[in-house]
Amino acid sequence: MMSAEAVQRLIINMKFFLIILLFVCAGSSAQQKNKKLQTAVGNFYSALLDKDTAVLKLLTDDKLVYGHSNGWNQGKTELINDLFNGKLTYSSIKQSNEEIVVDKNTACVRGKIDVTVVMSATKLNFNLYSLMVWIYKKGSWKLLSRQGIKL
Amino acid sequence: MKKLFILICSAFLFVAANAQTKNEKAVTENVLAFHKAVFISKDSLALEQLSADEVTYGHSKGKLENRKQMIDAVSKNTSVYSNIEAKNITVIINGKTAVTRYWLTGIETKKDGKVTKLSLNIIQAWVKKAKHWKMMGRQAVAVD
Repeated sequence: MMSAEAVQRLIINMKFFLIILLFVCAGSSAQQKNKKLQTAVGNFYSALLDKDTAVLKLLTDDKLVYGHSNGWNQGKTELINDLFNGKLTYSSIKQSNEEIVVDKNTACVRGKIDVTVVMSATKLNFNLYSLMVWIYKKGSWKLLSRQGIKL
Repeated sequence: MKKLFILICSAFLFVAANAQTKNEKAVTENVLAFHKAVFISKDSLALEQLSADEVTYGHSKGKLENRKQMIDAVSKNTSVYSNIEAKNITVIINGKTAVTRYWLTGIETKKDGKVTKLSLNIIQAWVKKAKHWKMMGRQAVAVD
């Protein structure tokens, strides 16, 4: 039989352990969320290059506004249709200097981006800076807004 | 019975729609308050209240500031702005995230007398924290 004091000590130790466990879990889930976001950004660019409209549909919010550096804005349907109909063909997208800020279920992703795109049979190269706003919904990240800025 | 059901449904819809408009209104007010604090009153206190701790503030030429740098820069800004207007404000809300865009026009007169015509598209990301919308990210884009 344990003394009452020993039992009490055990309970305190267990409480301490649980609290630590909670912090570790919260930390790792935040890390996982961050990792998921990085994957989503990569998958989004791959889908633009591959014209993978199924993936684009999954990775974008219905209210998406995709703003280009010249002031042209595409909605979700437009973004997908313009790729599908051949209005735009991305031939290369390279992102660097990625900076991610996550606040609960909202994330801002900034980065430099070098894009080569074919539009109306003309090849264009853009050296841009971009800001993306992502939201976390039901376990996955969705792009809500994007803006390109000419450097 | 059917009537009651319809009534309850429409009451729910009304509440939901009302919450949406309320949020839209609150976010729009914040956009205007932030705009005023930066370009008109240079009010650092308002900026502190309106921005999240982790805010990143991007200028049209690529300069990126954190919260402290942004507030410092605004309160020490010696430029004078005239005919400053915020046009075509759009607000998109999904849950506790909002994205706003607007077109800023006006004239900037620098301390040395240099005059520049401003035409900027400004995109902002907002998060709702403890019932208040706080700016989390901002980026200006120069437009012709």
